[in-house]
Amino acid sequence: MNVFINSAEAITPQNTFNTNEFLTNINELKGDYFSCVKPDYKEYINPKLLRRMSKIVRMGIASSIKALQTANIEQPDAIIIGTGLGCLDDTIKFLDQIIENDESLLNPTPFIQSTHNTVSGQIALLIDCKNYNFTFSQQEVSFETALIDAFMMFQEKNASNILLGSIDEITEKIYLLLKKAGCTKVPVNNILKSNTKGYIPGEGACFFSLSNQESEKNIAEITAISVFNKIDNENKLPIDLQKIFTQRKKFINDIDVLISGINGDVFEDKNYTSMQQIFKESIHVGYKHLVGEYDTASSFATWLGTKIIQNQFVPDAVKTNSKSKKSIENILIHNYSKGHEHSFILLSKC
Amino acid sequence: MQKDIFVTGVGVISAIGNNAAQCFESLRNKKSGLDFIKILQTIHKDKFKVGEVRLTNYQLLDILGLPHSEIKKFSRTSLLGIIAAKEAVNNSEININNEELKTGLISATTVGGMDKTEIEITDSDSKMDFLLTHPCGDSSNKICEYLGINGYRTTISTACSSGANAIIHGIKLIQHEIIDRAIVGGVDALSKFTLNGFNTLMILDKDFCKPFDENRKGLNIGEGAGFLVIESEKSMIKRKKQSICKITGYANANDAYHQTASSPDGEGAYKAMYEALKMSKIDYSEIDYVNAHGTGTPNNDLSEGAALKRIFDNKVPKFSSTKAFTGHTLGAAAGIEAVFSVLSIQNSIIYPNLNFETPISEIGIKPQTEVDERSINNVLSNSFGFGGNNSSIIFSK
Repeated sequence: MNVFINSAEAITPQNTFNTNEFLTNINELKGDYFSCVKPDYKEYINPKLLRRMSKIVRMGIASSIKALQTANIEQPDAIIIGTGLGCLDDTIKFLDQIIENDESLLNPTPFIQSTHNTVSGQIALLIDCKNYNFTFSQQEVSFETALIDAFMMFQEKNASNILLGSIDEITEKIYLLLKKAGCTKVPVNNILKSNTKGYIPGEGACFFSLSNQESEKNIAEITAISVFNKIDNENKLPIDLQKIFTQRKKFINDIDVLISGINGDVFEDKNYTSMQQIFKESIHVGYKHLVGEYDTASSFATWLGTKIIQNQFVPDAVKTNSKSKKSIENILIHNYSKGHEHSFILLSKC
Repeated sequence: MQKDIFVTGVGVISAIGNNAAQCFESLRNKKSGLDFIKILQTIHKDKFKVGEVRLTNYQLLDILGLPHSEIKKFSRTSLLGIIAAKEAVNNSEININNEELKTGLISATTVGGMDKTEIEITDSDSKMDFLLTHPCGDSSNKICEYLGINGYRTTISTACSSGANAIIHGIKLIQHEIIDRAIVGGVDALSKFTLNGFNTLMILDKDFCKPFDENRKGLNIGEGAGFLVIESEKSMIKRKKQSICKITGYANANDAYHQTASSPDGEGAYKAMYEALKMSKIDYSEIDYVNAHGTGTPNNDLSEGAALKRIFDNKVPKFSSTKAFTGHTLGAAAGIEAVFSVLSIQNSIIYPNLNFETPISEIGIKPQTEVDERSINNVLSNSFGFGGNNSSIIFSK
């Protein structure tokens, strides 16, 4: 079974939306965390509706509408979204009201928009889509388990195209909470090589129009997804990844690019070294120094991998070693979830 | 359905009991769990009736044999979840450490560890533990840690239909042989956040809710957890286990009408029931009981009632909402009601719909108001939520 990507649209802290440039002009970190570049939302959302939408809803709606437009899809057979923390800004707004007003005279709007499925519900509403509609929220594997759900739907032949995406947001308030908890890092110039603990928080919305049909619209293929892997032996591929390689007839040397979820936290980044050693001939790529760390950051890696395959080009801004390849056929995305397991997404050229 | 899915265990904790046996007795004896708030700290204590589990977090730790020193590690949501999931695992007698059969956990919640967040966020000395317990996924991780599940786990958060969607995702994972069996369901604890949220929407009834009654005024919010153990045939054969019942159909659809309200004709509800019935290949006349979503809000019950009439061509099977027993437990509702549906088949009983007097004038349908003991072969369970999320599941003998 094949799962093809027909469009990949992302609103991120970099210039990734509505542009032909591919990470050439990099937005350096301004402040303590990465915030998304604001597109002209009016192009995608009715201004009347826009006023009432929180940042995460705007990001989710605009990137999903664009993903559908690019793939020329009016009604997806399913809308599947992953989000680690959901509509956090509205959640905190409502919570603040409860605390400040001592549970009286509250404005319901932030409550209404605080549910994790606000974005998937709003997309359905905007395009009048009554089909399958799911929102996954399992911290760092929210996007991955949403992707597994999409794979299963295609296998069941219950869908020929699926809108898959992810959303997570950061605000000043959330940043201060993370900082107080000791999760964050003092901003430095070279985030990935800072050798200090903590990460720089970030955010993003990445949406993909997936299809099970081979066509000229395909820009990349998602060959496999695997979650909850353990890396027991540092010199060997995890068992589930071995199985995928056997199934898909891939060898270690076939992996042209390894995208790692390194975020510059000196303690967490150790979890990526064994895979980087196994794939030592591949081009190594990191991305969290451009978009920050957040639960669904691996969806940005998927967007990045898709664009690398589409453009057959690895931007300097994301390369972390000096290898190069004549053509890029296969990309392995590796993400580690804190205190848990490893997830892998394999992308291939069509 | 492509491959049979067997239910082999149930576990539940709610305002009407700390386990399946207690909840079942309350249902059979028409004993509602709704009352004024005792444990949740809120200014609305004496204003609203809720479905509260009458155990403090320390008492929940005691039930689980966890030391009181670990209180900061757990939200109330995760404690309730562990209790119900543990009961389901014990009831099914599955051995989670069996390496030949992979076990997963698919849980559901709407607000995760909010109960703990809303207390600790105001504490200036807080060590910010709530950041770890706040995410929806944390309660699932805690259940996995307690039960020793190392493999697949995820959490669904689609408002009040979350629990049903967790069951659906679990079914699919088994059918696709990603796992052999799954603990599926949902959990939510009462919180000031949700109580005040529903209050601002003006859909809380200050008195006992009256599902499907003409004079219904709204819902009573509740808390709890409900989980099923579901298995593949391969898993059943390997361990020579008898099942309680099967799941024969399921569907998820979106109403695409309004962010918080259901469409008056119940289009999404109709579509979910239609697809689930189609999958089950059961004749409509063979549905013996519908465990309705029936929250008691003017909007839901009208919409669901209209959809029931339409799908069953005016010959609506016996139906009831159990929300007047437990309150609306949000992300846990479909998990708890799945357990009740399974118990309905196992014990040959239709539960009464409490507080019903007058049929809704627009639709005129009457729920079952007394206990009805009869052989039950097929139960349809509905769950709907904000964001237009509608799901239906069919349980069969």
